Amino acid sequence: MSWKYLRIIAIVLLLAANVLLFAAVYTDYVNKNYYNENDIYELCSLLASSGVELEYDVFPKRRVDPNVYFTKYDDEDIKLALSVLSGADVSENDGEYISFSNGGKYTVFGDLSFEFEADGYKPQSYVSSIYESKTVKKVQRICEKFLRVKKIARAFGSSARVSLEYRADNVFVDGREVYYTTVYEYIDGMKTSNSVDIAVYDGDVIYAKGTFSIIPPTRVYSADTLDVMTFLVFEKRYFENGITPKTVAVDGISCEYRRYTDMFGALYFMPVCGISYSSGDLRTYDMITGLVIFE
Amino acid sequence: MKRILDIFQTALVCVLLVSMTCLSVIYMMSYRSSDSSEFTPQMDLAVRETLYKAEYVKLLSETLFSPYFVGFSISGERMGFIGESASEAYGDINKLVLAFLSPASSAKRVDEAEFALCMKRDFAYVKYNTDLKRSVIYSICSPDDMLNSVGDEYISELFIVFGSELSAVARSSNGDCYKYTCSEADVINKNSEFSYNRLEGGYDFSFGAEYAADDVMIKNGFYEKISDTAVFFDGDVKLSSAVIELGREIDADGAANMLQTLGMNPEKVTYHENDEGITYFGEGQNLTVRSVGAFDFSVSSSKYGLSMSSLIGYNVSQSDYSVLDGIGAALVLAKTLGISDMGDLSLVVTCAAANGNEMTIGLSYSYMGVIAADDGEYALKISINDGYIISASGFFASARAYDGYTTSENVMWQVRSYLYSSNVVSDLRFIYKMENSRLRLAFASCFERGGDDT
Repeated sequence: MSWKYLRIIAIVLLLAANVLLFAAVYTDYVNKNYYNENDIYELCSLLASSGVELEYDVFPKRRVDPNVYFTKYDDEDIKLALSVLSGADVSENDGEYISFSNGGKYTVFGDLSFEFEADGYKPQSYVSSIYESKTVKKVQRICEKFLRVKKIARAFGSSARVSLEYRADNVFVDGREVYYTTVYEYIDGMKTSNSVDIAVYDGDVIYAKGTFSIIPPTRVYSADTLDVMTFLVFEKRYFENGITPKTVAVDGISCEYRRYTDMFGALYFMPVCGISYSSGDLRTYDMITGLVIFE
Repeated sequence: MKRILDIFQTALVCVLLVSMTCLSVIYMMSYRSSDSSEFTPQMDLAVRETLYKAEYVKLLSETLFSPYFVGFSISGERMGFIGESASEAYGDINKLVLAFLSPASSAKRVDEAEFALCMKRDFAYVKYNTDLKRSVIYSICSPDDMLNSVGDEYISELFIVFGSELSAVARSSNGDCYKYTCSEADVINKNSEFSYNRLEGGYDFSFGAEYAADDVMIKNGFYEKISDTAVFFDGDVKLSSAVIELGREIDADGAANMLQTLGMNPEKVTYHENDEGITYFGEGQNLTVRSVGAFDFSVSSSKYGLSMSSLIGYNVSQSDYSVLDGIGAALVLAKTLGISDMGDLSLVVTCAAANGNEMTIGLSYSYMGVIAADDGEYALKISINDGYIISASGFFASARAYDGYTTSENVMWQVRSYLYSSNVVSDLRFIYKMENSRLRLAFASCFERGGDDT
């Protein structure tokens, strides 16, 4: 057999092998990252038998594989973070860290929540929403510049990919041309419990309040987490064993990093899964232990 | 053309080979073992325990565990304090207490005779409001070490004995005695300067075993019925009084809040009303709210109880709750029910007993550091079984300070009255009685371990 034919046979065999391997890799990727449609429908009917209504669309199709983020911090770290944020000196007063800069007062509280208030700022009721993309983007740029998330992360040598999300339908304006928005923090693409309310006027932030990674996580731990389907099976069992049987409808399912600070100066972002019901009830699970978190 | 085709085919074989190798590696990588989780469920639980404790620790304060009495006897001179003065005097020996109760200290069981001998030496003496576990006293004095394990013996009173060898001897109300020695305490003692003799509100005192009772009292069993360490002050004790208001109007919203707090569904309960108040019935649960401002909650079995985890969050294992967790749960419940809104009154822990999976926690009102008890009732008392609160009772009260004072009067007549009526050994202490909208000082038998008046 000539080299020519051998080559053609090799090409055919290699093509077949590539197709098969690609299919295997793709199937594996889909199975690992997305829930099977049939499994979701089966879960819906399983829950329905226990009085828990779950619509197919409510169930998140993409699986999550969260980690645990951690850092230790002390007074000096808070001062460093605030000085990076404000660009000015920081003083401490009765457990609060204060810095005066950009025409206002920055305060970081003991629980790492944060506030900035420009001199003379007075809040007013929102009057209308803003959807004009140019204005929305401008407000977002101002917020991004103000919060200096990347600069703070660099100062602490944090490798966690902290990002901020701005929602275009979440910008409001009052009669004085003050724009209001809320920015949500994400770590490695997963939402966190951190958010900051911000007011912008004339290109500057005039008020901000909330929590964000002012002390960014510096260590990441891999963790084996339970998946959303497991929590829904727990919910089925919970309602089956409930003292008062009732029918409930699942309103939303969301996984996020919940931020915790303990009394020894440790900051954690731990994955939780919240299942909300149309009745307004919310049950939150620790995704690592599968235990319900009471809040 | 043929040559170009040859080159193309050869290149394609190479590309396909590389592609196959890459895909194989990716496929194999995806099956790589992923059981190397760095953050285990056990680590998660340990973190959450710390976090939840951090939440209720905010409600813990040293005043909750303030001693009833602190006394000193140095070179034959005695000075004793109660109320807020006792808390201040406790500050003098706080570091020594901490050293003796720390994990670094060594403890050995001794008999009561050795405890009684301490009265004859130079000492600092502390009498707590109830039996407290050594770990609880240590945790409150040293919150940073809250999670460290120290001994679990109960302590209701403690002598720190000065002399060539510094030691501490503690006793529980059951009569179990322990002697503690700690080299660190010697260092602390050498650097300590006691300021108790500069404090106001000190009295000369003697213990029950030393008190010169008259013949009538002896005949009626003074030395048998009264604890050997019951404190008798030389002279009248004068303390501030306050205007007291008992009860609280509980409207429909207030009742709904109470029901929800105690795990009952306000929309699913039935109720029965009579002159004394209203009793709400849920499935396996009932709550009686009396018109005098008191309430009782109980369940038919622990599965209908209020879970500790719903109050303090931590739910690793129902049997893993510590006494401090129980106290934390009681404080959270007191806050949610509004028992903590009490004007110038504050809360003190007057019962913190655990036996296996059962726990009883009692909080009492106090004014200026002295217990204010209406017929011995607790401001809030809860019973816990297997991590569920199976009963809770309490009453609402608030106080407003005014310029008035109350003085201990006829103490000896109160002692005689006790001797005539009692057949058990008890401690006698000063407490505030709530009478005629005022706090009045009385000398009476008081809270014992387990929580009931004797």
